[in-house]
Amino acid sequence: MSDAAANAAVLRAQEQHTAATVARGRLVIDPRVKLCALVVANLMMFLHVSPMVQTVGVLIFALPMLLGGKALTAAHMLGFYAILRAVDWASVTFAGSAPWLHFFGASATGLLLMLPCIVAGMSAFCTTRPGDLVAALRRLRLPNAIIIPAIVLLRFFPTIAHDYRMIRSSMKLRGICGFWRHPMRSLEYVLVPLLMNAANVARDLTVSALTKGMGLQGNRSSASELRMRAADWFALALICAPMLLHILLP
Amino acid sequence: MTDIVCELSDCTFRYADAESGAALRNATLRVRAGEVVVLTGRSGCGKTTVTRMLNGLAPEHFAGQLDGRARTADCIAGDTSVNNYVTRVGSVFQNPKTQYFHANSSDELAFPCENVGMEPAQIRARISERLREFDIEHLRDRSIIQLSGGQQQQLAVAAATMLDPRAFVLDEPTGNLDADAIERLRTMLMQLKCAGNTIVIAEHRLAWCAGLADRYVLFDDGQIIGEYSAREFAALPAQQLRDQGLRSRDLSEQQQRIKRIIAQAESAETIENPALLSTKNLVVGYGGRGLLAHITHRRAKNAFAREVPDAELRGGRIIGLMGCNGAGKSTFARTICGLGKPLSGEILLDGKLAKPAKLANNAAMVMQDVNYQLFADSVREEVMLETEMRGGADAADMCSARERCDEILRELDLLEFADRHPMSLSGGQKQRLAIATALMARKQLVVLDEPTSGLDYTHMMQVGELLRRLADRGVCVLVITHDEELAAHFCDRILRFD
Repeated sequence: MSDAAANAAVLRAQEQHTAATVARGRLVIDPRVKLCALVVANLMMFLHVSPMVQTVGVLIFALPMLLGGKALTAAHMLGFYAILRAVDWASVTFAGSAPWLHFFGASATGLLLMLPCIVAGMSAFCTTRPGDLVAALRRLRLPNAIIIPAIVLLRFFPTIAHDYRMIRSSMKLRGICGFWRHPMRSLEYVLVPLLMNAANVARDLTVSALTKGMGLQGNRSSASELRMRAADWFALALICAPMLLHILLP
Repeated sequence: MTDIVCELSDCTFRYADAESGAALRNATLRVRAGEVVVLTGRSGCGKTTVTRMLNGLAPEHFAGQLDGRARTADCIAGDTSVNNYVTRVGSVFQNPKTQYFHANSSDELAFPCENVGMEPAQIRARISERLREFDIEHLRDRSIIQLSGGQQQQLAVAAATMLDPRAFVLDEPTGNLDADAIERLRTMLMQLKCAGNTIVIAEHRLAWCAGLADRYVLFDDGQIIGEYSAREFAALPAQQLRDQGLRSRDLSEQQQRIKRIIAQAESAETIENPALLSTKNLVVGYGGRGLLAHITHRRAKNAFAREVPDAELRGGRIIGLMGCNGAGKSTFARTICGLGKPLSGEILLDGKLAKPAKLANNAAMVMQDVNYQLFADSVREEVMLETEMRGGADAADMCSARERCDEILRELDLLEFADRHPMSLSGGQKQRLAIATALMARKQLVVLDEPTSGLDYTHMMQVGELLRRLADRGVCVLVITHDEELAAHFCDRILRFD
């Protein structure tokens, strides 16, 4: 390709990227902002914020999913949250007349503590392309020793479900299914082939990745260029809102 | 004087953990710029070792002792780190499923460029360029695990071109692919060849190399025993190649035979040999039947349904299932084994309507990756697994069961490994172990999924003989395969799925 043509191609690629914020009707938020949401969610958990602040938090953390094309997942999570809130409220209101509700109330409270983290985490992973997530980790200057395992984890996740199904099929044909009768043995029968397979894949993967430069020292770039745009700064401010509410309100 | 890109000068290589002798002995080879050279020979002949020396993996990653000099561009194996080979050599390996590093296809293409610190916009431009060049725009930004093996391999070749290497080194790239996928891969490599690239391919499946290769180098037991131009190679007698463990150069004879087998009407032997399994109006498939789907009137994203013409499967026969990927071969096999419910229609076992649980009792499957089905700590324990789990047998029963177990192991040449861990066996031995467990459980149907993928001629024939011995015991053997040589030689019947 001639130099002029190559330069033109590079310029085109740059334009395409800047236009990618609202692509195909979906909102794409910088992954660093979503990781920030995860941190705020953890803070909310530690500080035991009030129910109203928690509700505001969960709604805000679910926004990336709602606007990012994963509305159904967000709806499920929010529905689950609403049910937990209702159980919690019921166990407090009817504490006198129905003491047995306490058990459900306590469980609901425990789950409610974790839900903002779960929603923030799901938002981060469902709506972010793996490459963008890795780019975010690189921009945060995390060492390779953390980034490379993160990439490999993201790569292995989908294969585990597939492997598990194959192993269950084999177990079914061999007639060695009884999970309830021999739970530990069944776990072993699933884990050993799963891990052996993972070890084999890891071996081939290392060889392939070495030939593509995994072992190179020096600065690595990222194909995704992360830039904080107005929408991202606004989202960041919105994410900090629950903490602000928690401090300001009595 | 044309540039010599890859050069081996009197190279001898011995792997560090090798029990036997050298993997490669006194090999001398020169590959000129723009040439396509095919290194061929049976499994273990040394061709893979040569590819590893050409892309810097040996002796750095695959430790061993190297005598002699192996050079690719300006890199010397042993002196130059494999990191420096990254921009000189693009490598493609056999297994499409274990080669990719990222979960997403665009990230995988960007990976080599990111590692060398290329400008982001330039990386994106180059990705677009390659996708357009190879006509694989439909592979942009996809989840790699959802691609077919052929598409994954196309992606691997595209990824190898990302840094504009001086040479490409491919190690049996078509081992696990069907005919269509092989054709697409061949087209990509022809494109690379026409652009003047240097390509070295280690292969024993020769049919697809015709017209692509300029030169063939024949290996046997670590030594180069012949170098031929494309024309000279085409003139070699077929038997000589088969003796060397190579697959046929020309598969048209096998394809004719397969057509004849398909067209053959089932001989009328219903009385002495009633059908083990028969299907009526069977529709196999998955997805789109859940409760949620009924309520929302929406089919699940990957729903699939296929009508199957009524079939009768008899014991003592080897039945081939052939057809392109995605046509329903695996789904049919799984339904017959009771691993999935049919969407509609009936399956009869010994003349009686059978539910999936009964079918599962009757069937065994040897998967393409046998690692998913070995559970015990030793070979003998693996074969005795169901017997031990059932329990409740007295000492005499257990004794006779153990005798049967040893008998089966002896027949399958596994008795000497009886105390070894199943995962320490070779691929072929694991296959035989899986068959041993099926024999022990007295299964009447054994389904094998691509048992010969990646095997050279000798080993393919061995697997075929094994299937024949199985069938002679009265077992109904169902083989899912796109290996035309296996099907032509050994299948009594072939069901075509298209």
